[in-house]
Amino acid sequence: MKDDFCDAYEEYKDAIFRHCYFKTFDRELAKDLLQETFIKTWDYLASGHKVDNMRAFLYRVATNLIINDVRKKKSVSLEGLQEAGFDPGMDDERQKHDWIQEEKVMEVLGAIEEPYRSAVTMRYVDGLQPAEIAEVCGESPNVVSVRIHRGLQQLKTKLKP
Amino acid sequence: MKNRLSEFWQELRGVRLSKAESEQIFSRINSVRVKGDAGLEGYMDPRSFLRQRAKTIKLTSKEAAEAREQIMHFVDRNPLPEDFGHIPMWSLSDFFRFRFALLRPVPAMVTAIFLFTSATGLSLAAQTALPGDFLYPVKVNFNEQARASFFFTTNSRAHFEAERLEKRLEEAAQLAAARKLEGKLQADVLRRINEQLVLTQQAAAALADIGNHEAALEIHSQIETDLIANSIVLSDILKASGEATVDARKLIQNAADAERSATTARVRSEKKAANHETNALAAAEKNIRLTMERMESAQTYISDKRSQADPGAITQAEARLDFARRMLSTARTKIDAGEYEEAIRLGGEAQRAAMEAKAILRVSLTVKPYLKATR
Repeated sequence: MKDDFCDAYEEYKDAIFRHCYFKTFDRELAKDLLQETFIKTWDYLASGHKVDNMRAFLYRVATNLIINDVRKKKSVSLEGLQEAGFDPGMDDERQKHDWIQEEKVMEVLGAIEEPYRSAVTMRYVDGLQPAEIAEVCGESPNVVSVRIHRGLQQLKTKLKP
Repeated sequence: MKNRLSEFWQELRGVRLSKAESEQIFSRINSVRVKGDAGLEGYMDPRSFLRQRAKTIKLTSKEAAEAREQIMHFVDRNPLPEDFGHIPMWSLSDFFRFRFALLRPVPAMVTAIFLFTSATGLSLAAQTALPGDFLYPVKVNFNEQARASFFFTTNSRAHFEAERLEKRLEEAAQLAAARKLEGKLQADVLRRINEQLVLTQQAAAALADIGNHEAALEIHSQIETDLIANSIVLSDILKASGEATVDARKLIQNAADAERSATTARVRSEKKAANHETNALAAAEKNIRLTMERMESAQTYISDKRSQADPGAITQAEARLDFARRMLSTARTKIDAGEYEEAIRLGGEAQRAAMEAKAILRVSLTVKPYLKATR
């Protein structure tokens, strides 16, 4: 079971990281949230509970952690958050990586409003089905489909030359 | 621990943001942006932008290793309960736990013992139930569903679905052996096999979607070999019983149709896996190693079960293994000749033959007690 959980980390780590990163726009925070997501999930399993759909469960835990984090930061001023902006936070490997492209991608995604951004990234970046996204968000698949459509429309506008 | 858990539950179930709160949060998230020109020429289609560009954003290997270390440290300090994954009835006991809280301690204890023993006994008894049996719904809808929640990854889920298909096919063969496969029951068996076949193929497709083509090919090959082995055993049963009823022929026909579709899916999967291999020689050598492992596993299985199985099944299994050996030998000569693609194809055939050898023997052994009962 532990091995399967390790494999689940390998399989979903990037998707959950992106999910956190695309919502917080803070790489370091996204890494912390990723770690916390897996720790909370294991804690839940260690308490004797079962998880029917690990991927959807991880997304739900991550989403709740993001919401909690934003709530905790209510006292921080909006200006402070804007000043914080996008921080690539580089290490050696990332210096080799084309981080300028990453910055551009984040900018385009930042132009899409939530909850449409989450809907399109979950659908087209992470490959979740509308029913699975609905499970994560606690909405109906129809609502999710509308969000995906609107997210794509917004993205199309942003990508226009 | 209890407090942390209740907090966690609250997070999972209780969190419902008000409209104003959610708008405020989303506006904060939206406000953290970068200014400047996107400059992503060539990405005019939003879907390809998301699939090709946004997907490149991931953890570096160093970041992933650091996070993994922290998580594993926590995992090691907080092991799972010893019985985790072994008692399929614990979700039922979870349901009853709520009821016990309302009872007095002593009657609650007695009720708990009664319910636990009867529920666990029911679950264990259901393990060997066949379609049409009273306990069969418990086996399929409860035991198997409970087990499903212990598989966390796409790969382990796909193997679990393949295992369920294997069970559905075995059940059909067992019913045929017991001469119970008829009318409505047979229609029900066919429906379950076909439904499980779709689920297993979907699970294999999910593996291909995440780029694990090798694992997807393994599942497709397993589906195909299970169907072939099942048809062989089923035909033998019908031959031995001296009557091939219309209903039983339907079952064999269904298996043959499924086999064809499984073969098509496997060939498609083979091509995709081959396209992802960059070094043909390394891929061919890897394929040979895997073939040898599969053949060794089949050989060990045959040796272990020789005394228990029917001589006919042993002969068939050994014939498949001989075929696998011949294919492997030809595949080796193809590698020497530099024909790597052909070597991989022949290796694949050898692997499937070895898997079939094992499957024929396995199905034949599960069917044996039912044949005896009818003789």
